[in-house]
Amino acid sequence: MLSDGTARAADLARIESEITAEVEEAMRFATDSPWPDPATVLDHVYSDGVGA
Amino acid sequence: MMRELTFTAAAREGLSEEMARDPAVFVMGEGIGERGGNWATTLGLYETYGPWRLRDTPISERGFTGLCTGAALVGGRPIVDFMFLDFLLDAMGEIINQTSKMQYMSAGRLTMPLVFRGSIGVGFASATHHSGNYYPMLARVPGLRVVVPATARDAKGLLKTAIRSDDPVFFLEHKAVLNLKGPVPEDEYLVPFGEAAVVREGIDVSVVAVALMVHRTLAVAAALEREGVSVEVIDLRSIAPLDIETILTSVHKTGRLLIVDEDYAPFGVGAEIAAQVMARAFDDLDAPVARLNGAFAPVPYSPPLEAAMQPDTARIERAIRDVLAE
Repeated sequence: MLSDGTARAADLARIESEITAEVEEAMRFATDSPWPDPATVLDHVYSDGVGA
Repeated sequence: MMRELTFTAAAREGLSEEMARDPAVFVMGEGIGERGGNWATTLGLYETYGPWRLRDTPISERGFTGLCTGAALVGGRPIVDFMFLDFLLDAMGEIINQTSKMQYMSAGRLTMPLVFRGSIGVGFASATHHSGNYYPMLARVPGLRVVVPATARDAKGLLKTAIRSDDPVFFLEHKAVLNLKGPVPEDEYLVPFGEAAVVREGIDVSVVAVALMVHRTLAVAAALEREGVSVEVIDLRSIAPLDIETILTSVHKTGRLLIVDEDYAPFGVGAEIAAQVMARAFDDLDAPVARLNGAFAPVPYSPPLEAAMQPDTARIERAIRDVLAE
């Protein structure tokens, strides 16, 4: 992609750092969140709609 | 007098009504476009709804099941028509590992409004690759719903409920009931999931049956009535969710229970019902819960062998007499 001009090195670096930041933010959110309530183990196996 | 339709015509009317009501509903499968479906499931609909909504596919079950799973996640309401349910086996990885799990994995952010339909059942020398039932296997997958109507009325009402459900639903059509006619209301109606039907009331023994076995059990019950034996017949209609309450109410009255199911006995519908009845109605039982099932073998092609493996009226009658003699 770099050799045929489809992308520039600076663009790829920016994309990489954006993705890294997003993943790190998701990691932080996950580790900072409390563990789920065991009482919710059966939630969302099925929808709440017709036939539920 | 109410009009009568075949099972297939009633289901097709339900499909057409839902396609007219909701432009997100579409069908994919082999031969379901201009040809109208191997079982006439879509006959005549192509002219109204066209090739985009009646989408013929190559022989690629896993591919079009995956495609429809994706479509269901982003607003479509696909119906996968497997023709013979046996062909679902080629899509099993997709169905169990993706379709059935997405709502749970997304904590309910995603829904999966997807209907799978296909013919099931023994009895037409269709041989082993075209005669399977599979509903116990499907009913034990969390996230899937499984309905097996036996009558025209229930075929239409349950298919409409299946199309409107946000869950993946298997709508299974026994080959031997497709051409049976029955009364179908003119006005719109739905048949809810998880409600068995007491199709004949009786006091001596309860018989729970599925699909074709409902009709055979009703014939036996009518014959036994002439000698004073009163058989209550329950059409299960919905395998998952299972309506155990209707069965418990019946067993409370009769004290005896037989489950007639042409599918295999081991780990099957009868085993599940028996376990639940034992747990909740042990004191109501005057006899052990009994099962009558198809033989535990791949379905043979040879008609005499095939007939030998499926419960017929003689075997159903003997099984009812055995339960009464306990």
